[in-house]
Amino acid sequence: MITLRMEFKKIKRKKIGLTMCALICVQFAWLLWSGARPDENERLEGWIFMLYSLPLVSVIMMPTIMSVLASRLADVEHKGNTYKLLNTLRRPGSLYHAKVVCGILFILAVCAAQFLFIIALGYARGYAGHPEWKYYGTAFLMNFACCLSLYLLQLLLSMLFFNQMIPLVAGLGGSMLGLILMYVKMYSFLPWGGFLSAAQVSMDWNPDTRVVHFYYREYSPVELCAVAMIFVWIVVFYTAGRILFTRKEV
Amino acid sequence: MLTSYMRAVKAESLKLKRSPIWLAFFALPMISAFFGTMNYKMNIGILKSEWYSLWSQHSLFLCYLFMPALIGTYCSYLWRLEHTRHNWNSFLTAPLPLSSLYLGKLTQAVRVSILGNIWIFLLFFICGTLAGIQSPFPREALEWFLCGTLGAVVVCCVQLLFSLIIRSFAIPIGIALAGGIFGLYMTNHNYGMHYPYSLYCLGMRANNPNMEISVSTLVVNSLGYIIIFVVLSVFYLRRHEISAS
Amino acid sequence: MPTRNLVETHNLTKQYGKVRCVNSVNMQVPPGAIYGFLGPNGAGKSTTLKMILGLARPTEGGITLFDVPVNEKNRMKLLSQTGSLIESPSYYGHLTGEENLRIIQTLKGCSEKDIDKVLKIVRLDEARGKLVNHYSLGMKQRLGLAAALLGFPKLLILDEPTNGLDPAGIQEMRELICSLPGAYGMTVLVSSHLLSEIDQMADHVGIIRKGGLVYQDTLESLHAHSKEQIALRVSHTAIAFDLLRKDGIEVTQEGGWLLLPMMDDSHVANLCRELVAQNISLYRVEKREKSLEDIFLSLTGKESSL
Repeated sequence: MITLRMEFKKIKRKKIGLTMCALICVQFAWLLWSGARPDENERLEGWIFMLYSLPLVSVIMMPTIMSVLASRLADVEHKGNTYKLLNTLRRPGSLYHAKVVCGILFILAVCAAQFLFIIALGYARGYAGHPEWKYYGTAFLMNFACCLSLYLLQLLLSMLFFNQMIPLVAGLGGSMLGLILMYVKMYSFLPWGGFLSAAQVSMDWNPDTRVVHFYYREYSPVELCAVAMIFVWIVVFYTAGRILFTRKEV
Repeated sequence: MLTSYMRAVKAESLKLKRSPIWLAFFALPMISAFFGTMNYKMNIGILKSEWYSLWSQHSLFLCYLFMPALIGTYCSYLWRLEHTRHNWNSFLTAPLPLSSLYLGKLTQAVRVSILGNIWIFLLFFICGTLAGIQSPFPREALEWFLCGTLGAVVVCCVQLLFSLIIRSFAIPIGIALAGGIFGLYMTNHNYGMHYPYSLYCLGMRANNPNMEISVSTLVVNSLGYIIIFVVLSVFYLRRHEISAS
Repeated sequence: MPTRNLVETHNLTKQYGKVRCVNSVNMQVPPGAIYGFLGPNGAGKSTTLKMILGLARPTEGGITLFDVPVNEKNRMKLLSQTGSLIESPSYYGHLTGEENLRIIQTLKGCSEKDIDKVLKIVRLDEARGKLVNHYSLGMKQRLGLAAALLGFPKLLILDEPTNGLDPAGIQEMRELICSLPGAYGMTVLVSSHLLSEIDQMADHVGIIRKGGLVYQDTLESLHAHSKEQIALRVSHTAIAFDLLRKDGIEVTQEGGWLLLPMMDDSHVANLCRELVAQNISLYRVEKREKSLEDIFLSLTGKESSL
């Protein structure tokens, strides 16, 4: 607990919250833009359309947001050269845990903001009915889990390398990979593909009538594995981070 | 006897030794080209304009999302060299005009952007040939390249200013990503010519090789933005007391 | 060689918010000197040096280097004749020591041969190919000094150059600095919070306290302040004072004590006899020594730590 409180003291005046807010606002702007001024038909499929858009927005923005967050939290120590100091004050594992917990709180805030915005936007646009809570709940959980796995990966990279270029390029490359994997309709077992593996909405597009139809899909067995993989990644990255961090000679 | 500008450029090159960060400019376009070509091959039924279709597949994500962020990353790295290890003291006591010192940094960023752009077009040519496109390589590609490169220089200037002022490595990159995404919106609403992050995509004709743009407006606006951000950066270096840490 | 001072500041003041970190400092560094700039931590040493180098802008007052005012126009000309090491050493950790020096050499536009020379001077020629990240703190400090020496500038500004060095390293750095004016005709402005260090290196000294320059002269005259005295406590201080004055002795009164300049034993014996003959009782006769430390402490204020 003390280490966690220390963590928040350290990032005081670092404006991490502000950065996160700014990046979230970009997501909001995007969501506002896509599906703006819906017609009658679109209002009917409004809630499901939102759940379709969300993973797309997430796969592009979240890897970078997570790399920024992890880099900010780790760079405090690189810049101040404080790994040595802190490891003499507390068990090295507890410093790692503090960073993980601190990150989780930020991710929760980010994801919650995302969902509250979507729901508020849906009502404001006059979408028919109410959000399907079962799907929305699952989407929230999956979104959070994917973010967490990416955050743990980025934290690992950011602590490992003094040169923050490496983790940030990895985050960027991950965004790109995840996006392109979606584009070529290949669901993947890579951590960045998680957002799309877990997407619950598919789309039908009729080229002749130009009518788009959204529907909830069932996970195929392969996709179910891909979804389970997200949680495997969380465990893997967490364990790797812990081991590397406690063994790191500073 | 080297001019002060040349000396600054040489010093910056020396600083970048042993940090193979240009690799990112090599790798990211490759991912984009690989999957873009794959998508082209898979949807060859719909995508019938050969080189033009392939270019739309290659350029979309790369130009809007990843190149601005990548350039931003590079700019952040260039200033991080000074933001860490008390290097501001030695940087600012070098007996060179501050404008030369700044242009030394800008030159590095521009150089890697140009090389990245050359690589993107080279990949375009290679992938198109491998994908078996029969028609000749489009001549306009040279214009896309030149306009795109000018747009990339604009992004360099903007990002160098952000990374100079903001000591964090990551935040300017977030700005670049957000800037690129917002660029999609601006371009779609025809404000692209007035928005620094859109100039690159417009110049490259990203996703839309048949787009009609006014090259003269693009050049004038790009040069305008370049001048504004160079002046702001040098002014900041002059006026602001940057303390080392 | 110009007879005027190499570094001169006029009412140099720096204000951060409402705090005056440097307050009307008139520093004068003669050419060829090793000027020790002494003061407790946080007294404004680094800020003063930074203003001299143009890294910080004065709130008030001005600076002249080499008889030329420090401003934007003269910046390059002055910096090319100046070498500096401010706060902690600057370095690029992913490069070797030699590569770090090559960067500075390129920026300064001096000869490549200087790199070998300065590496020898600071005794880093064996570690030249090692990454600076793997250097010890002392080696980084010496690399910083080597970078400052590149181009053999006329003026060298060193801020706490012995910080973080072990005793042997401190000794080595001290000897090196002492040799610079003789060997290369440099003028050295060196700051420290340690009196003993300045005492062993400098020939001129300026003492700063809470932003103000409280003392500035040659080191010799500082030593002159540290003379020994004879202190007397007697039953009738005022009468004794007049009596001693009549004898032509430079006596002063301080807190019930009479302070006399140092004199030999027989002289003291004579004085005592004289006082007793006048019915003045002698309580104490002491030899007092005011050390350099005492002077420094009284100048910088006892509350500030050294």
